[in-house]
Amino acid sequence: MTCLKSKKLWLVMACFSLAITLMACSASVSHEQVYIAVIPKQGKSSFFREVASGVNTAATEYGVRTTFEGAQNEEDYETQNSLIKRAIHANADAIVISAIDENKSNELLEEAVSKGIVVITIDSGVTYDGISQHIGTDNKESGRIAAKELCSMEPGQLNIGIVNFEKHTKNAIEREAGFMEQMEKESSVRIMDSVSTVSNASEAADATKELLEQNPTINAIVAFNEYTSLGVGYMIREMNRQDDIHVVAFDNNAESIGMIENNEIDRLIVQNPFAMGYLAIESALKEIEKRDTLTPEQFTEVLVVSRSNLYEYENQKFVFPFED
Amino acid sequence: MKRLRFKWSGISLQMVITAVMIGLSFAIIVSLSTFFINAHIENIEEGALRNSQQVVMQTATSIDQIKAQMESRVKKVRSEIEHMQNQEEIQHYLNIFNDLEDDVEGVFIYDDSGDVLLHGDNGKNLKTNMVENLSFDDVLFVNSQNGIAIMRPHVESIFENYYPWVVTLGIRLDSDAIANSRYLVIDYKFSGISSYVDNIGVGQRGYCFVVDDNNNIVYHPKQRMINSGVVKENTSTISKLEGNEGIVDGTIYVKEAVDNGQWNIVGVSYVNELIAEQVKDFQLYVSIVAFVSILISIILSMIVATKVSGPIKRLVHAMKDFESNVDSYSYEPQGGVVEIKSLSTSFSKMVIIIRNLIKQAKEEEVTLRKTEMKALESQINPHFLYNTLDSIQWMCEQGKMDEAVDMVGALAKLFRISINKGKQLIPIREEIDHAMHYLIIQKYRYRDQFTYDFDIDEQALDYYTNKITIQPILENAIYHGIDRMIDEGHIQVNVRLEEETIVIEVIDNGLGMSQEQIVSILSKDQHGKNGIGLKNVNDRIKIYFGDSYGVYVESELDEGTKVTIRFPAFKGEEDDLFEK
Repeated sequence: MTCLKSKKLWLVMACFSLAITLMACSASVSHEQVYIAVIPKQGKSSFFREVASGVNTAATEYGVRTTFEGAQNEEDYETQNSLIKRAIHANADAIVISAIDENKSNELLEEAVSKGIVVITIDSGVTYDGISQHIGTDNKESGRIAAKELCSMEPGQLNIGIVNFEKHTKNAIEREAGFMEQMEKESSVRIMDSVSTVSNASEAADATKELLEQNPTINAIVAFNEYTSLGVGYMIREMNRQDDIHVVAFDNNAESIGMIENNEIDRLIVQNPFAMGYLAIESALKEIEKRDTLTPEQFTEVLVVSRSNLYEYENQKFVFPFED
Repeated sequence: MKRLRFKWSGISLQMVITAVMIGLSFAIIVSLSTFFINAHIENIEEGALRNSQQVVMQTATSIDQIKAQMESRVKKVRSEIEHMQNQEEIQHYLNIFNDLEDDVEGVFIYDDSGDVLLHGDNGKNLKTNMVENLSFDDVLFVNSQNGIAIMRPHVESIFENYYPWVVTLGIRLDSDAIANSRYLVIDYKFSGISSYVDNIGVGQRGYCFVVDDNNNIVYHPKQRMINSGVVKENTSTISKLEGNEGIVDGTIYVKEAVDNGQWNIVGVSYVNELIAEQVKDFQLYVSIVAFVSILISIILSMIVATKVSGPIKRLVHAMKDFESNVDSYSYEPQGGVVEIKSLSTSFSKMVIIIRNLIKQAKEEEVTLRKTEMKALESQINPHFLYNTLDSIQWMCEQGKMDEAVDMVGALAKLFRISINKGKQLIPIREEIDHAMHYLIIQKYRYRDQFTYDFDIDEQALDYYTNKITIQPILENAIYHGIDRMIDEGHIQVNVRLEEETIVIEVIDNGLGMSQEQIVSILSKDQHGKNGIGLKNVNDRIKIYFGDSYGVYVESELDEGTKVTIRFPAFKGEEDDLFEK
């Protein structure tokens, strides 16, 4: 009787463990697709369309699921925060964010990290230090490059006006800091004024106009992002000051490239948003799969484009995005 | 050897069977899976290569088709234009063409120097101060005298604030309607091709890119990162590929030409991941199989155990029971596999045989004791003693003192053997002394009615024999052979060693015996004055030494009797004998 009982027990155990093995097997075979939520500042600028392109390329290559949704404009951190909440709610494996405000999303990102979500910032970072990696342009260095470019164009006295965007954005602060740092080393340089606008080309143009009217001696302007660059360009065109004001600007789009061709902008510092998008996905995956330890920062290259090198074949690939 | 024995001791048969089955299934699974993995890695690599080859070939074919369409449209537009008579008609046609064809970014008619004579209206303005028109390459156009020149993908830089990536196709144009017209050029959107290439996945995380005939990258999904050095693409490896395919450091490269090799599609995929994935799957499969077969072997071993080790256990138990209770144990043979059945049957037979043997041994022991007692009793046979003492008395009365002394000596020595330390076996020397003393006494008693003679092999003297072996034969010879003889009788005693056997013969020339008498004296215990008899001797020899030894009688009436005793030659004590 006991023999029979133990035999039955064995059979039951055998079936049970077989079932478990099969379940484990099927579970591991169809391992769940990684989901990464990408939150740009706002998805419509050509900068973030390039980020999206990099994200898509990496997503195709690594077979991950991504969403790409940003704020309405580049001041709208509330929308970004609600997108972070949504990503946390959707059990995202990673959040890739280009933060509008370097402070206002910290709490939510901390919550995400505490729930095991990998957080990677691109382009604009945050002050919260629990993130896995920041990927973007070396903003200080690009500020220095902008300074050097300006100095190389004008042998004489430089009277500089700065048009910067939303002050709470880390990028703006760092680029300006790098720029100022470099300019302090130069002798014949004066910073006449610095204006700050929201990220919007027409307001930037107005601010430029005001800047130039209040500081008639300005012969050089630096703008630190896509919209301020366009605003400066528009105003230079409008005021027909192409030849007497040197402009160094950031970020490429069809219009700013046109401005390079028309001499309204002299130097365009082109970032590599495609690489940011691509590398963000790659790093997020490394962290999720614990394949590698990430460095706290990963910098992407910038390219300085002028009228003369704009159409060099290799530069074409860097400067002109593929529109799908 | 000792260790091995130690190791196996204390392990039950069921455990051994289970261990062997698990080990066996493991060994088979491991060796088979190693074999299959090794055999399949090559197949996987080959399969991966074929797979990416297929993907790349499809891509190449598709892009070939796209290019062919582009070319056919260029030719069609040219033939249309060449048939038109005036510029307005041509302008109208170009506008419609530009408008209707989705993938056309611009259609232009150039003169020799690259100035735009006419272009299809697309709502965009031509630049007034152009840095560079990337869509015009007169060297290329001139060199392709009759065919279509295809420029590498580039940015269209001719319109204001509009920089799409395009592929430019140029062809010579002969139109009388437009003065100086030399080239028809169409800029096709490159995004059709690029997004197609972008979305080609090769294997796990492979991708495609496009190179020209010098292996320079024409288009790469990650080209913005290649230029800035974040991502590297090893184009030199591709140029070294033999037969346009190969595996270099775990990376599969497949190259396929589009349109006579001006462009080439290169597929890149990673063999390691493919193999790792498949090996992983395989390992999972193997471990499931291993797990299942171990379970099966456990179950099987349990079945085997109930069929084999169970009965063996029961048999062992039965043997122990038998051991502790030999006398009253009975065993019923049990069923099972053939071997177990025969083992069980054998054991049940053995139980019976052993019990019979033990019974027999006990009976023999009893018989032996009885016969020995009889032999000893016969030594103090009152008849014999009385007769002997009577004879001695007579001798004394007659004054035959010497003879009386001999007689008394012989009698004393005769009895001495009976008290010989109670031992069953004595040297033949002593047995012969005993026989001689007996004959001395009998010779006096029978007043020299017979003579006797001993012929002894000296070698035989030191061997051992049952005591009181010869004397009963002599007694028999005297009573049955010599006593009733008229003539003088003679008893001859021969002792010799025949190889391993002691042969003692007692030959008399007495009356002899009939066959019935021989049978009678060998089968009946003799009582009374005639002593213990031949049967007693025969019985003891057979009990001691086995049935092949004993007492043999040959006799002929009026001729005499020959009694032969045969037993094995041995020296030493009883214990040694039984040891043997």
